[in-house]
Amino acid sequence: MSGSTENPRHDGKDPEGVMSNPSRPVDCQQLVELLGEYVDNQLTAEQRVHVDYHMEQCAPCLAFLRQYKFAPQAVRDHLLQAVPVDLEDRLLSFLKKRTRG
Amino acid sequence: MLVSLPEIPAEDDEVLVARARAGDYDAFEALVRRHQRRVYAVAYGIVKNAAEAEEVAQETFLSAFEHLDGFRGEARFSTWLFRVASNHALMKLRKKKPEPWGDVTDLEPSLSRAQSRSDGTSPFDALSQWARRPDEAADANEVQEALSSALDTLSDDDRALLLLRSIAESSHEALAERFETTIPAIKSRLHRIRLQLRGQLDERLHGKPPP
Ligand SMILES: [Zn+2]
Repeated sequence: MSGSTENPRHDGKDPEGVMSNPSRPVDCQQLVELLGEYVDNQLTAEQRVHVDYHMEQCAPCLAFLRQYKFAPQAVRDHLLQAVPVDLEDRLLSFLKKRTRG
Repeated sequence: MLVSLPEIPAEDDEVLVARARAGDYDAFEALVRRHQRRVYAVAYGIVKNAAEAEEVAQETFLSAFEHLDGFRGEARFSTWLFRVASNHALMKLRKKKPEPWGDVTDLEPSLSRAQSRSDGTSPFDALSQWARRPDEAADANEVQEALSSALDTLSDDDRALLLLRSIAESSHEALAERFETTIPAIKSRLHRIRLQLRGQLDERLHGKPPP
């Protein structure tokens, strides 16, 4: 699988996206376009079935989805781990000084 | 490495803001305690410097204290708080490379109530999930370095947008207001950012050269 930001497979087919024809199964490229709405639970039930079905059959797309979904959460966890343990105490005493004289 | 945080409870915030506005300092401190980790994490992700991130957190909560009277239930407190935090953080960056920037404590009275986010919190560890891929695993330090440098490849504004979504759990609606654009434009920008982040992480964690 490519390290690029593009779709897992470069089929290049499908001039019409799945949005314009929700009854058709999705290919890899269409699937990538739908991931945003997929992780935000904003696909129609029918689109979701097609996406789920595709991912059952296509390991690269399943791996791509996992990474797409977890990358922002990994960043979040990474930054939360950088929070100093004594930040809260320092912040509270700073604010007390500044707001209560 | 799981980082668990409670959901941001908007209802409780309203109660605390009302009490703080009435002069209850303990209520203000409860708001600080509840939000300080996320505020710092958003700031740190933008300024990439611990001392400056802490200054941003200080400035943000001072602004919140000074503007308590501005909250009458029109805007969700946390939406406003993280907006101020991200503005303070971006302003710090822009002071280094000077550019004009607006008033960071703009209260957004018209901001409508934010919806809560359905997929915001993960019940398991995102990093180990990544490493659990059968083809290859990366050690924890390698993952942390990859995350940090992948984040660096995003523009300042894109970093702010990503963090407001993933840490502050801002709604698409609030983000569209914040970045002065439409909800579809915000969704498509977030999609592009996620794709970029995924690609950058994959390169780093699986040793693939860029195409
Ligand atoms: Zn596929």
